[in-house]
Amino acid sequence: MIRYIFVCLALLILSAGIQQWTPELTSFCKAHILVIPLFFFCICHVQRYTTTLCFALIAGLMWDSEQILTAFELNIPDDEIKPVDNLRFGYSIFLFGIVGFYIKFIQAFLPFRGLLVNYINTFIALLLFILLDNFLILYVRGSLPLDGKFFLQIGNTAFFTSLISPLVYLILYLLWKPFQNGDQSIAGGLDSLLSNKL
Amino acid sequence: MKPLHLIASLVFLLISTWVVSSSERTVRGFQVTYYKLISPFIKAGSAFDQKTKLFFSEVQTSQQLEKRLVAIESEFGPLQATEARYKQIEAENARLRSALDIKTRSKFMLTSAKVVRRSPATWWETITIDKGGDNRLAPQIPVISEQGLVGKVDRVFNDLSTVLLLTDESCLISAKVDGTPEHGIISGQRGKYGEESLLRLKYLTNDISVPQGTKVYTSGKGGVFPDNILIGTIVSIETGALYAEALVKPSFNLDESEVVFAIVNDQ
Repeated sequence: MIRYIFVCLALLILSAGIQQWTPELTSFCKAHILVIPLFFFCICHVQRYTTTLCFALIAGLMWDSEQILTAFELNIPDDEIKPVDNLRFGYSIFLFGIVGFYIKFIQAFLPFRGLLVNYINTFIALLLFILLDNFLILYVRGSLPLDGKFFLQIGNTAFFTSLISPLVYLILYLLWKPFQNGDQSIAGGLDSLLSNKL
Repeated sequence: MKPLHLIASLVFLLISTWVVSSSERTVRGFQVTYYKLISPFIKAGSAFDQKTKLFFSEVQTSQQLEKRLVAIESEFGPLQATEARYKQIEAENARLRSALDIKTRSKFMLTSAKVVRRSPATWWETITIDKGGDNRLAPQIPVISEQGLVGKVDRVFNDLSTVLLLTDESCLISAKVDGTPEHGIISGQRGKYGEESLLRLKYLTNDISVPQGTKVYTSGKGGVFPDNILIGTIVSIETGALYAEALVKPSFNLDESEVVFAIVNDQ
């Protein structure tokens, strides 16, 4: 099992690289494909609560390194240098932790599992994460342009990102297989992916 | 909740609080390490993007190429005449300057950089360029393109930098309206999802009267951006109780620019 944790960790780190290749969906209200959160939420479904928290820490560090604009003031008294109203580095760790907790909480109470349930749960988790992230940014920056397009962008981002989640679950399943049953072929048993293996 | 889960949650909270309260140096360390890890992906992504564009640009019919050649040839003649005239004026200008003993206007020292990443998965308006601290780039350095002002350098790594675009609301620029004594502060706007990004030029006098299409330039009074760099053109004017505001269409087009220039030294 410990080896599978390291495999998932490698996958999460790799997601930061994949994130660089994902385009902005300009036709859909500038929606984004959030690869790092997607991989984290999918991994949450296949790991224990304690491991989820460790992964939330790593995902948060990566996400903030990607997101946070420079925090370094230059101490130059200029009109054109305004301290960027920004959230502190590390705030995403809490967000990932909260949403990770939500996933584990829901999982504990759901009587059934499966790809469809995981997919819906991932979509809700993404939506929750993006909403919290945006509300925090809006709160710090001081205004609240809550129009239809704002919510459309968030909805589109969650929708298009979650569309990739079955592929991530498939990868997680294929990687999980050899650690569970060494003599089975990796490609074998894909049908069980649709049942309750994940 | 199991005791193990409780302990894990407490440890998680402690570590997270330490990260949030960490110093700028530690944050910088995290960001540098992260960008070292992902820079091969950014560069590979950029190379892939270029190859794709090249492939699609190569798929042109001979008729299209012939049309382009004719168009270019028709432009070439007048441009030659313009260049000759320009050289004449330049020589005359130099003669008059020396006669009047006026110092030559300071010139920019530019470093060209390739745009390796546009619109990353952040809510800010930024791009990533392939030059960094190794090429004398530093935070707050202005970045321009052949179309006009692009923005300013934000995060700098060894061979990569993030540029905060002028369309982001955090990027403030001291600006002037061409042909008028009007000055103001220009910045991007938030919440215009899916629409063309327009800039907002604030603190203009209420009696301002300029036609649509009037150019807006940097005034050089803010301390970061040099003067007379084209920012954009005025689309409309909105008068308020105290001052007027103009909506400005930026001259810089992100989709058309492959290369930008960082002003590393204003001699």
